[in-house]
Amino acid sequence: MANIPQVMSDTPTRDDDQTQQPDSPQPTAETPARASYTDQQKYQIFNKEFMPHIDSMYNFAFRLTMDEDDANDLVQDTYLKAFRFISSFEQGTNAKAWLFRILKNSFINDYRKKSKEPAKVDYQDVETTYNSEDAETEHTVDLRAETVSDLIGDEVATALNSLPVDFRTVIILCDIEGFTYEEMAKILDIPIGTVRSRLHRARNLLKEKLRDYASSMGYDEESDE
Amino acid sequence: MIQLIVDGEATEQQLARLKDNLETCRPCIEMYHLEREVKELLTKRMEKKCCPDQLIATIKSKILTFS
Repeated sequence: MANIPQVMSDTPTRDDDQTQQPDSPQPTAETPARASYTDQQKYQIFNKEFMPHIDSMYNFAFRLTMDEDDANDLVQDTYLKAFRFISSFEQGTNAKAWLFRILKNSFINDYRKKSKEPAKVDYQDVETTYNSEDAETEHTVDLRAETVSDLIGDEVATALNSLPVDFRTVIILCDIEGFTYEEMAKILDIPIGTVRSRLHRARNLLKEKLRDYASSMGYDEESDE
Repeated sequence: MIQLIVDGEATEQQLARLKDNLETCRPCIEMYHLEREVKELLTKRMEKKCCPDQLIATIKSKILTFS
């Protein structure tokens, strides 16, 4: 069981969240109240609370790795970890966010290295760069809503896939999976303010890609004045 | 921030202030429509990958051997 420390670090902890609110669905106890589930309960929780999210998990894994085999492995690892550490999951809390967090940590630990990301992006670096360009960047993206409405899914997927993984991740979590900022902060282990700003940068980058795409397709989006 | 409205994360107070802005500021209106359009595109028009049945079967059989 040499891999326990690493695996343990992949499972969400309970008392690590500064953004937590009293009415949060997440566990709040200081001391993890380790549930001792019977085997039967474990399977029941697994099937009722974890399995319903498997398509979302697979979709997330695929968007992260951009490779079907890696997505398969990642989802499998995540579900096996989830089962192994099911006693740290509290029934009635947000299973989807819990699973997403495990998957995202596994991705960082095991898959990012071998994934087809051109180079590992240090998001702090990227953020500093983008933040230093001042907050008015959004006005430089001369993309129009009407142009965007003509784009199709494949084009958006291509644009999304071309973003650095940290930016891609916030967009997937927010726009595709519909997590709240608070849930995203938990999944990603970052403060809510960082979620907000990273999402903002990510969308600006995405809009630039979409604009490039749209103009290469001959859409007219020049007349913003 | 327009993003907050689009994501449903704005507080009542922010919502009121931003709504005022949206009524009077043309760039704000355009930006709002653009943000909403992009979000909708991501939400509705991207293909959602489904988990292969084979993988589901593998996972289910593996957890049975655990305990």
